[in-house]
Amino acid sequence: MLGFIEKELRATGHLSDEEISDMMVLATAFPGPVAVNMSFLAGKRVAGVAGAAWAVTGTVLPPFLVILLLAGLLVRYMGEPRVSSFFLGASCAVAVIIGQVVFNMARSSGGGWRDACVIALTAALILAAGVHPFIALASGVLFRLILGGGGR
Amino acid sequence: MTSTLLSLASVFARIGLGAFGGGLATIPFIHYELVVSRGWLSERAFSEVVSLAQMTPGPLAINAATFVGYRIAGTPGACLATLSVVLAPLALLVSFLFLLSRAPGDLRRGVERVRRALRPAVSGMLLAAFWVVARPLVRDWRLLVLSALLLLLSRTRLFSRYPQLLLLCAGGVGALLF
Repeated sequence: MLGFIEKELRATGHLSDEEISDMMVLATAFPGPVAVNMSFLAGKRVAGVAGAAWAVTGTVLPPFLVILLLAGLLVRYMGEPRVSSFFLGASCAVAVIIGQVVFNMARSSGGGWRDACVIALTAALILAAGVHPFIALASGVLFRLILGGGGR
Repeated sequence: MTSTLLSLASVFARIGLGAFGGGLATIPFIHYELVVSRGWLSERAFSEVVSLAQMTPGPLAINAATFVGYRIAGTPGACLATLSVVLAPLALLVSFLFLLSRAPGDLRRGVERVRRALRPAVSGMLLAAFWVVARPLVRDWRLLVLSALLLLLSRTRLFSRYPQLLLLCAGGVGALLF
């Protein structure tokens, strides 16, 4: 997703590579869907407030409309056994995809044992302690800041 | 109805504000807010929403907001939930940009430090997301076999380029077998 956004933005020719990577830093440091943050920042840079509003609308509207069109059908048929089995099978694929993302992140993480501790703490707070994910995430970030040292 | 709409707005504003580090890392937030804390979705319905959101284009948080909003309060609910999930984090970003225009140097360094510290915490969220999705699957050996096959398939060029195709195939197999 990130690579795709970057490529498309570069292709417009309105933004320099440096501007794009600065925006990427902000977009990923702040909450909210990265695509929305990026469209806001790029839209604002290129055409001010109106540009930002227009770009965000462009990012949000297509997925919104696709789901809205499907929702009526799905709400009616989601209880059906065949539909349930379809989604059960599909959730195996979702698990595989997330598993691969986790694996790749673990492999490419440059922070060594410090990062590993933070990953374990954050996940354990959610899964074992059942705290609100906000608290888990904030604890993870704080813990990482306290540990200091290397990391990318 | 009004109170339902209000709680939809506040739930999805919170999910939006928790959506650090991209779509999949939002899963624990959506799970907590909709399944654990509100009981709006069963575990089964939750995993259906996540699969649906992965199959359709667009950020996961937006897909989930539109669908759950619609399910709970029709088209007005879909609009409101989607607006909340988008506008709450944007409001935060806008106020920060305003601060940044006043005191650029220190804040910029601060953002960079927080972003670096966020990385492993977001990985932890992803690990939690993985288990939230995989937990209901490990009880059934047929689902484990299917997952193992999908893992092999996902490494082929076709499926690694089009992950949505993998979901559709997996769904098709699921509908035929289970």
